[in-house]
Amino acid sequence: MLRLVLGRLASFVPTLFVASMVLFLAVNVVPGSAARSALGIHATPQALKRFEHQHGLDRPLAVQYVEWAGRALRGDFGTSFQNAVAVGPDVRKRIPVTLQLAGMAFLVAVAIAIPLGLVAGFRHQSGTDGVVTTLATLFGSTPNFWLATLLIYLFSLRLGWLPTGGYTPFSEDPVANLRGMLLPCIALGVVSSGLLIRIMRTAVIEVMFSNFIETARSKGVSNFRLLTAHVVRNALIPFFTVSAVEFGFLVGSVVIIEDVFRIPGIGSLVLVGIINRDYPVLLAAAMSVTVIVLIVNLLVDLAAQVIDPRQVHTGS
Amino acid sequence: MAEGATARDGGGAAPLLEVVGLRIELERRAEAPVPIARDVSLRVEEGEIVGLIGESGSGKTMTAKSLLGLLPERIRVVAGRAMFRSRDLFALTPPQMREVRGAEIALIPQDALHALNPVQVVGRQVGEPVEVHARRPGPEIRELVVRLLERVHIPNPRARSADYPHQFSGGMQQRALTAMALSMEPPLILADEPTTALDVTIQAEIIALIRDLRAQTGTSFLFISHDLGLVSSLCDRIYVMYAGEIVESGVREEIFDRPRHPYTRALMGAAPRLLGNPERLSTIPGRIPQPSEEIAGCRFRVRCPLAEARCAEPPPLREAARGHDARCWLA
Repeated sequence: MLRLVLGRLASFVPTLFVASMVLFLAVNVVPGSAARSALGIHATPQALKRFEHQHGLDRPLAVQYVEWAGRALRGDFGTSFQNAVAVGPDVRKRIPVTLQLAGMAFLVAVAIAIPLGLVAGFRHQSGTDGVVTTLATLFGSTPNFWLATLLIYLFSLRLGWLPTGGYTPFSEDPVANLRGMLLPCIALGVVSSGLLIRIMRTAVIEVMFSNFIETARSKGVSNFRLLTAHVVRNALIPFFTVSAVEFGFLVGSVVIIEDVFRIPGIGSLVLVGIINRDYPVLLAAAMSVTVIVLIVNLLVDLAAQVIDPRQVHTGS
Repeated sequence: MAEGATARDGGGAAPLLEVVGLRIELERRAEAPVPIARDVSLRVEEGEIVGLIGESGSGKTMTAKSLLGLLPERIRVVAGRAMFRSRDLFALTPPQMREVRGAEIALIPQDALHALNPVQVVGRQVGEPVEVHARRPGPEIRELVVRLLERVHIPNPRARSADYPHQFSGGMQQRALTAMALSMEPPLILADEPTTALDVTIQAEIIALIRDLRAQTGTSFLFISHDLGLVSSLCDRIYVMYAGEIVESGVREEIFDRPRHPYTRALMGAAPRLLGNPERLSTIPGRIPQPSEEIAGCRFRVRCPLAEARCAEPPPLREAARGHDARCWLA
């Protein structure tokens, strides 16, 4: 187990290295001028030149990358082009916000997907299966910002039960924090559950065709026991492994949802960074998202290991 | 088939299991159903080990599965009855069938390497029939499991019962499955090719184990196999199945010393023997027909070296000698 964790952590290094290069390239390839964004449309050509020189934007891309990466390794992500605020501390402050949002949204998705996928897979090709599969398609193809808007309209504006947006730190007021997180988590979670339901359903069907299920049946176990003692745990192994990929998509959706609900997380920072061509902000925000996804992937893999005794024992 | 033929020499007491006129069909969309088993009749007496042999695709596994109501989707019993302790297994409701499974009729499944749940410890699985049917306290079941594992010669059974299946060798998994089938001391055990996935020395071990168990507990076995050698060393009576039909049946000595059906003879020729010339290992020409293939008359006719004109008429299963039936005009 420990060896796996260390091995995976070591593999983060090349992954992050490649990710940082791709990000750096992508950020710089996007049309638009950082100087123009920062100084406004009335800035003189001289002022733009000066800005670019000041921030090293007139140097070759490779040189810029090495310089940025060197400083990033020391924890220095530079300052924002817009307001000269240090990027690193700002990002660090926002990471827990996004982690909470994505984590809870993922829990919502999993909480929807496991029971529905289980029922659909167990009653494979039945009416229930049809309903669940249709529901999964519906969930998965709903744009999350649309669902978010609908939820705000219904639960905030019409019913007045929940706030329309904003963020309260958990340490300040747990109840207010959770009330604020509820709608964005549902908007993200329901849409993500679309794919997860299908993954769980497929995993269950696969298990149902296994020989050991017939063995269990031949012993006279009830359907309920068959599910709880034999199907669920076996189906969760592939489910968790594949769902880690879906978590990556979910973090991507956070960008829009944070904007809709005015949540000060990494996602809204990414958006601001793109709109303003604020490279230091954008790079730091995007890199932290990469790290989050990598860590969650590792956690999910560990969860799969805990469920699957074969993997634990082969490691020792 | 006439019922008189099956009840022939039952010796007074009703057999433990008597299957009469079983027909199993695969249902198809918009097409006629495909027969998997046609008019299968067989019986198992108390304490008897009965062999059901045939090539893969002959319908022997489906016949066994039908008895426990474990047929796959769209495969159904459409005719016949299976009298077991004066109840028709085919007429049981699902809850009644669950009461029978594992408690009165147990299955030793095919393919030991995939027959155990990989994420549950072996001991729990071996004790599951008792947990489900007898609802005894946990510690008592665990003790029983240790004794069962001991009985099937698993070394260090107390510690090994906490192992996961992948920590067991193939032979040990098979023995654990045998222990599982024994756990409720059922009167009948269906053993579906229980040794196919195992190497020869372990095969011999399992066979010896089954023989011992019968001697100790009087359990009856329906032993399904394609391996004539195994069946001949183990079974009291034998049914030979070909393309969904019983083509020959009788006591072991009759079948092996005086096989009547050309298919049985061909099977014996195809079975490699230690003595005799290995160069002259004869195989049966052609292949077993698909269940959907309609063959008028004897279904073995197309592969039969002795086929003649009257074989175009379906031969009945009839007595060829005392206690020996064959479905062949030439028998």
